[in-house]
Amino acid sequence: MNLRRGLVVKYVAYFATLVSVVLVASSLLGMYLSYGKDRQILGQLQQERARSAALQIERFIQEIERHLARSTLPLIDMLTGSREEQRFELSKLLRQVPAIADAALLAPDGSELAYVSRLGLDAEGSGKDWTSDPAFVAARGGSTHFGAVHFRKETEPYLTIAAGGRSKVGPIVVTEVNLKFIWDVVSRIEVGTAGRAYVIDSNGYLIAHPDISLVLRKTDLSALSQVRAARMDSSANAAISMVADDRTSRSVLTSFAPIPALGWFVFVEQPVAEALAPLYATLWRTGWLLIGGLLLALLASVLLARHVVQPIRALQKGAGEIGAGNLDHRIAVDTGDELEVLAGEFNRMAAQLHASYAGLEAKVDERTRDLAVANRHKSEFLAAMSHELRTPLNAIIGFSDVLKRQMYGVLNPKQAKYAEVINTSGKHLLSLINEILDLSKVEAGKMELDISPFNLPAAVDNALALIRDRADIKSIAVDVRLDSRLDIAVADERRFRQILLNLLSNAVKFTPEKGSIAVASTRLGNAIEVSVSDTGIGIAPEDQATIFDEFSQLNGAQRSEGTGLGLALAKKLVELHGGAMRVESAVGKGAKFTFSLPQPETY
Amino acid sequence: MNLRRGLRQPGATLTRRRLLVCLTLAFGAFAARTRAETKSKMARVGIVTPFTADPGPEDAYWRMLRQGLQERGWEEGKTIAFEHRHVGNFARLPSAVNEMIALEVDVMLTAGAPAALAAKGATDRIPIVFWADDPVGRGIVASLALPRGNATGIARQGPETYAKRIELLRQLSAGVSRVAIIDNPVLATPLALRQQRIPRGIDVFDVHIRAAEDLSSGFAVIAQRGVDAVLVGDTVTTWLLRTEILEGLTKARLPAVFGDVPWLALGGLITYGPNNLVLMRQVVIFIDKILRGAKPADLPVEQPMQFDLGINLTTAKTLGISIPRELLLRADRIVE
Repeated sequence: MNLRRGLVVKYVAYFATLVSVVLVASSLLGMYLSYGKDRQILGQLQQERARSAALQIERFIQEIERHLARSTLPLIDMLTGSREEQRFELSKLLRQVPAIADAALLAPDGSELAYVSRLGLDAEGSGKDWTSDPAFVAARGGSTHFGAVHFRKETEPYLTIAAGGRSKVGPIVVTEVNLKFIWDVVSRIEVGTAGRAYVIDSNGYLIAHPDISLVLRKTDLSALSQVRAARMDSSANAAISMVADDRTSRSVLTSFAPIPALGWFVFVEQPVAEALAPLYATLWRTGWLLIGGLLLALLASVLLARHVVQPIRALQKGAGEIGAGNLDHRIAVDTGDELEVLAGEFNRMAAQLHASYAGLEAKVDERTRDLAVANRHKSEFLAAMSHELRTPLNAIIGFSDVLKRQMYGVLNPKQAKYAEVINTSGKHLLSLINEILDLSKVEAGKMELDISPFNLPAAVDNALALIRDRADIKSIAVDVRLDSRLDIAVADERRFRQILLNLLSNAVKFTPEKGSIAVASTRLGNAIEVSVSDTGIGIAPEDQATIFDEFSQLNGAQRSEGTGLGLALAKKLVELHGGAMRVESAVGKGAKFTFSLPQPETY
Repeated sequence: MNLRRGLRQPGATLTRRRLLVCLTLAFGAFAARTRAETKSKMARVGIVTPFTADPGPEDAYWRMLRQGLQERGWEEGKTIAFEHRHVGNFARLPSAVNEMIALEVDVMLTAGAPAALAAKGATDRIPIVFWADDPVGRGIVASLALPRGNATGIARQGPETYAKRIELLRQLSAGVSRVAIIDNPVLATPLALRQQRIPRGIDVFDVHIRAAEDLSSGFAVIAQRGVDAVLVGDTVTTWLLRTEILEGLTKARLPAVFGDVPWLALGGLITYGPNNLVLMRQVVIFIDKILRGAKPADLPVEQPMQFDLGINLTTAKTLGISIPRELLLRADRIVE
């Protein structure tokens, strides 16, 4: 059988699918879980960076605040001191803190005691009124004041910081801090290779960025989603890590940390591709491992399937051998499992079959021998019969004939009648014996035909002459319709006449008085067809199949008038010629027997 | 099995292979061309100044420029080349600028407002990085935050410290009441001074110097007017005449205040002005950004963050001046 898909392929498919499904599912689940976890860790890391950056910015401002606090302390006693000393103290502050562009020293009542600037002119005791200045008001309240970020000349960001006022008599220092100095801090914060930290004020304006140009351009970032998110939740604990677009519409992983005292937000951003690179590397690695695992699974499946299928193949091959008649074949399977048991069963079955066949052949030989003996006996019997029966029978027929003719004296009527019976019965017996002999010869294949051309009408007339008397007695009309083109037929003439006579005898026999018989011949292709039809009792369809059997006579036929072998012999003789005989009949409608004899073309 | 779309179909393989070959060749050609272009296309920086061919102490700035660019990945002679035109004369600035345009430099660096204006007037295509006082007032840029056009650079804020310098002279000696400002009026810097608040009680007047021959008459006026101290302006003219000016001051035994630190080493008494080295760092960033494709219009003009006070104690001693404690405290550089 031509297998569409072998067991190996099926098993490989089953095993590989099973292992792959498990492997893929577990890998995907692992990847999913680790991705989520790693993502979370990355976010936390980013938040930590933002917090750390915020801390550094805060420290920068705190440093300035600390300087302010330090500078105000000695000034407390100097409120009444010299103006020069006060200005000197402010100069010191500017010297210590480069980010401070100018500083003013205010008396507790809000009047300016001294002013020092890097660009503008210094002032001593100008008495300028600061009372309405928010910086003074806030600092007076005791807290450090951080003003809103403002841009000088619309480009440089500055912050007003005022401190002091710890006591009602303490002075206040108001400073203008150039926020460009935060650039140093911000550009030192490393966020990967392409990441960066930047600072925005409460209005969303950029005040510190590694690219100072963006700050100087007074870049407004309030439209960025991350900035909006930050400004919406500016609580100290707010820490969001999100993926958003940056100023240049590049996708970034961003986190922020607020500086609550200033209302600022420090952002730490890194391009998503870079931030998630380690994550992707892990995913790739897992992916490759998965592919490797799948290949291994496939290989293992192939090996396993081959291992499983090998004994099955051996079984299949062995069963095929046994099926083909090689019963000596034995299947060798050594797997120690059910398959080995199955192979054993096959072997046992083959052995039993082998034994059965051997017995059967012996019996056939025996029967053949018996048949040969029987056949010999039959032949011997027939030979004996032909000789032993015909010799006395010829004597009976000959002498009864002599008696009947009253050659040796006159017989009384009774004697004449008995002599006639003896003579008729003898002749009947002789013809019976002859027919049996002929039949046995045909069956034994010893009947030899003398095929030669003969005159067909003459042969038909000859046969008709033999039954004409009997037909006349019963007033049966005999009609002969021979094909005028058919003069010569090729067959064994004697056997032809025997066949025709047999059919005519039967016709006369089974046709009631004043009936009719017709003989016809015709040529049909390479054969001649001869038919004998009568208007007799006819043959029932169920009997038509058996009328050609030996010793078969129709019910109601006078058994004494036939041997029951005639029709069987006639059919066999026709068949010996290579022809065929058939009958067409119906009860009460007469019968028509037709036989064909093939004609050799050379004649 | 009959594959609907077999990967191993001969036709498909051929097409794929052909495609692969084409892609490889295309990529190879592209890479080769890019490499060739990089090789042939060396970034060129044109430097135009009105200084003399011998930059003298300015060498420190040019060294810083080269070093800064090198730190940013530009290797002189391989990826970057410098074209220098130190003309020593304002009149020759336009021709120097035109030479740069003819050389098709990638960026032009100019020192002083006249050079910036000459460059701006000659090209609106080649990016210009300038180093000038009052670029908005001079019409070099539209605004500091949004320069527009093809120029950006440093707004030096030199003249904005003139008042502060006069204040320093006053702090040096309370007796200073008359100050002469030596400067080139053509460059118009004194105008900026006029708009500033001058320390009370100080009389200021200009001594105009356009060339070396104006110096003797200038110092004569100074002597004549009973000047207490001198402010030497920041224009290129004063720097070109630095030796003569310092000689005159020594001769007149006058305390003087200058803008740039290099004066200190030459014997200037006090300097107060922007820290040029810090600004030079910014110039490096500008050039680097522009060479990497940035547009000057997108780069806001930078202002100095740091102003340095320098004092030459040797000169003070020569002049018999004692420097007050406050000034010494505030000084960023002291030459002894």
